[in-house]
Amino acid sequence: MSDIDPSIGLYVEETRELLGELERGLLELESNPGDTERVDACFRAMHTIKGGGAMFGFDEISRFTHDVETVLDRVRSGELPITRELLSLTLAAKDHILVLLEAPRDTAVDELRQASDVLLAAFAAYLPNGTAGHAQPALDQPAAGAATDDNPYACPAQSGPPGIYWVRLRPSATMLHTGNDPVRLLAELDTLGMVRVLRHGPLPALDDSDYDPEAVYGVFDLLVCTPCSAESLRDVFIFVEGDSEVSLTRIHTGLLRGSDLDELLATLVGQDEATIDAAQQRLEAHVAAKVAAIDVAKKKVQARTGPTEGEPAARPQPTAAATLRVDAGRLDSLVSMVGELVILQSRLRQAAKAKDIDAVAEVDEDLERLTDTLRDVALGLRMLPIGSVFSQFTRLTRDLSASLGKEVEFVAVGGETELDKTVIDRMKDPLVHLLRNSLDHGLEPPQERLANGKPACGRITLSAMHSAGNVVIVIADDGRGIDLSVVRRKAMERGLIAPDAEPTEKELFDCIFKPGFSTAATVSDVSGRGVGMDVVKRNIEALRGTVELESVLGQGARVTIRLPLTLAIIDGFNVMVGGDSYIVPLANLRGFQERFVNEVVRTVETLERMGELVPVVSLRRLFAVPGQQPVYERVVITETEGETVGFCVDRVIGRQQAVIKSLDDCYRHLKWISGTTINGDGSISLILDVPQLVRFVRSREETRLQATDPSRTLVQ
Amino acid sequence: MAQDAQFGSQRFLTLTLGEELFAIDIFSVREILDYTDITRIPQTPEYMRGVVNVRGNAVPVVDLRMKFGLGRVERTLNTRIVIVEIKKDDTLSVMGALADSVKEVLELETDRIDPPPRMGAAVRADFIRGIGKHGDRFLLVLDVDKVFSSDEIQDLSRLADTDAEAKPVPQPAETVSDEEFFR
Amino acid sequence: MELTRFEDAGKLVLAIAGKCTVEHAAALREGLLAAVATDPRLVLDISGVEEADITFLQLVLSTAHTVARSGGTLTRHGPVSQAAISAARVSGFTQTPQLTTFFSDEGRDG
Repeated sequence: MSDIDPSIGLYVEETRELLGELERGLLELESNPGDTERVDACFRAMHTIKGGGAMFGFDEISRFTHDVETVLDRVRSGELPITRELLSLTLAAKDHILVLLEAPRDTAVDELRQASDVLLAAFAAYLPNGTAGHAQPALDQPAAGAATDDNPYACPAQSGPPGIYWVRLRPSATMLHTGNDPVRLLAELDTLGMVRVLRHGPLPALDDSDYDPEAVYGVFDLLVCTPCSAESLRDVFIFVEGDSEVSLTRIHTGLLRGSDLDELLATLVGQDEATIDAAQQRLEAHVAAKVAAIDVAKKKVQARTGPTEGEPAARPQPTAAATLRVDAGRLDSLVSMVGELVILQSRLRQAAKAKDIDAVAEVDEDLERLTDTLRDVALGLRMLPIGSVFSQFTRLTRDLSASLGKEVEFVAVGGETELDKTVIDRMKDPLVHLLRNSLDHGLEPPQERLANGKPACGRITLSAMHSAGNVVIVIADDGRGIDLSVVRRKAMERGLIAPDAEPTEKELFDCIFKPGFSTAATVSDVSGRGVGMDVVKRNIEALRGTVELESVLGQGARVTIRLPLTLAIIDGFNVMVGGDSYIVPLANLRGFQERFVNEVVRTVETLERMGELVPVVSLRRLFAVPGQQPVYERVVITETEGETVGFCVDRVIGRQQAVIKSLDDCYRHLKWISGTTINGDGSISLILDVPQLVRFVRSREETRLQATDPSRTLVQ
Repeated sequence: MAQDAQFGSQRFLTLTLGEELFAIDIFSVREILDYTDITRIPQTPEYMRGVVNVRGNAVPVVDLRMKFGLGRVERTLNTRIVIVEIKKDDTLSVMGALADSVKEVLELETDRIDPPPRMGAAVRADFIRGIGKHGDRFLLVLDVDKVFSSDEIQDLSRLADTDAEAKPVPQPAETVSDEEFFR
Repeated sequence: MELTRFEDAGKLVLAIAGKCTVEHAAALREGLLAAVATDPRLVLDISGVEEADITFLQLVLSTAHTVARSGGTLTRHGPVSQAAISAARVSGFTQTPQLTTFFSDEGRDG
């Protein structure tokens, strides 16, 4: 397994991204066919996919994309108009490439090729006459031949992984006099791999009397990602090496993405006077940082692409990308902070040697500051714009609305809103579910809409924004809305509310999220899938988020989801009960009160707060904390889902930012602990999941009350 | 492990629980810690003593004496927490075992480890891989993966709800796992 | 090489066509100098460039510097010829900050 070329993993990853871009581009072309930039972008994506496919042995992708690329090229040059049919076909091609990409190689080849051929036959109609034959039905072709024919680079491919070379060319001023032209040399180099060029260095002003129009100025720094050997690159410069300065260095073995090369090259800007060694060090440092940053991710990709050379495995489902794109600026600041850390460490060593307590204290202060920043930056690395998920929904709504015979305009706003990657990944399914709900049950068919005086085309808006330390995601539609009288009837039928109850609107909407609110044939659920809104709610709550539903009958529905920015850190108050230490998340905290205890304490009692009686829970009793019951207790007032509950503790230590460490799986039945955190002194605190804790207390109370005294209860 | 069983000998860490001498395959042992404060986790069986901070992670600690019904490990100068790695499904999990003392590392001939007796041993037979002999003393060789299996812990946690006020709360039946809902 | 001057939307356009190589570099420089002197917001039309070497690209870049000095950006009239764009792309001139807009829309591989 270990000899699998990690660059294949990167190709897979990059292609996946490109396919995403392609899909976005195609969908935008649908609404704006005149956007030539989009056409270009789509063409470029396809071109890159094809080139990489040949380079990394994805022969079928390379073969398949050839004609698709040709068709896109014709669209680009204006030979072909953009039609809905063509867009649908290209979208299908995009899906097919993804299948080819994810398929374990050497398995079910024939089947996949047949699928390719079916699509290619459709594309043939768009090819210029007489060229439709390029992609011969693949089944007749020896599979191995395809790769060499399509080797995109003008050199014999080396065995082994491709390399990245840094080439610096400082042409002699008189190079042109010997009949050489840097442009020609660089054009030749361009045929040997993926090349990024930086031209920098001095150039006199046009009106400068020193300007020699026949001289060559400046320095060319190039990064070449190529399977070719260093010799074949060096051969390009064979005639100029005498006069001009040429250096060629392999700075990395394996592949980096084009965007990575751009970033690397950018580090050389203004370094035209730097010595080769200095510039090389600079490059290598950045390569190392880059490689380190993608290393973990790479391993994951590698693990997934593992079966490529081993035994055939079951065809994997397309999975969420396991790699993370990180803003270069963030990475740079991380690298520079690590540098600071090294300096601090040596300062600490000196101070310790000299037994200089003051110096140690100073280092400690600096370290504290650095640690704080480092933590923020490190967490920032996990933040991604939620737009990556939104764009997938554009496709989903397009396809789904077509199959449902509905017209819908899907609007996504706030895609740049950043959110923890884990949260994004885990929000995708609930969001898909909510969108399907809106489409399937919210929006009316066009005739019905027209009859109700609405435009035939429905509208679904998905928006995201930051608000008070949370991310708020709203899905709104202008459909028929939710009929509360139906909800009420169903809720009563299912015993979710008492037959004589007078539930408020909010309580009725809450019913929809309850388990047992039948999923099929009700007002707002996707029929036939057996999915309940309770699952959506649970998923969101598992992310420490909340979800709310609003609707005006006849005008539409709106789901509001609030999520914390990150799952890794929680802001809360540290409280003590006996020797136990707990963290109450700030999100649930509403205040502190106190109480004096003089008789026997029950687990749940009530306390007056602002003129109302709220239930209070003795954590000491609930958790059977050993030790003496104190006479004076602090009460931590919390609120979840509109319900106020107090928790009695011995002491409130203070506010604390807790880095969440998950608890071992063997404690998974304790749902009311969301994790642990290690305190400064090495001790451990348990982080309370207040909604779960309230739920737990309530169910205990209910169990107990069924048997005994009905007078004390938590207000529902 | 299967390989070792075929060829000669295997190394074990011996520890005491009360009067009994136990052995753990040295390959499961990550490190041995002195006794430190254990953070109690409420509503867990009593033998789950809580969690300790092992280099920034909260590692669960099991009182092996209580688990085996041999009393309770009390804190003495010799008390140790043996940190072991166990396999749960495909993942490696880290647990701590509280023992009265840790003795030595010794080598046992694999063919000298006899299968555990059906009954009469100090400990439930399915926790024991076999019985070995070192000098004139018998050692119970523990099956670490079984002793710390989370199913074991879960099962017992339901039986051992210690709260006096209410009966154990039945866990709401898991309807269908969420992942399945969303497929 | 041929130089043509005309006006478009009140700005001077200098159209450069033909073989723009080292033999014509001095003449091209003269033409550019004169044009910039006439109108510092000079617009270039390079759609007719049939051959381009480093001297051509350097002169365009230097012109862009000069235009930038008077607060402007060198802009283009008409498309970039195939010869000009491929020369500029392989040698990194398309990525030079002063020329990115000048070559944009055409500066792509493929």
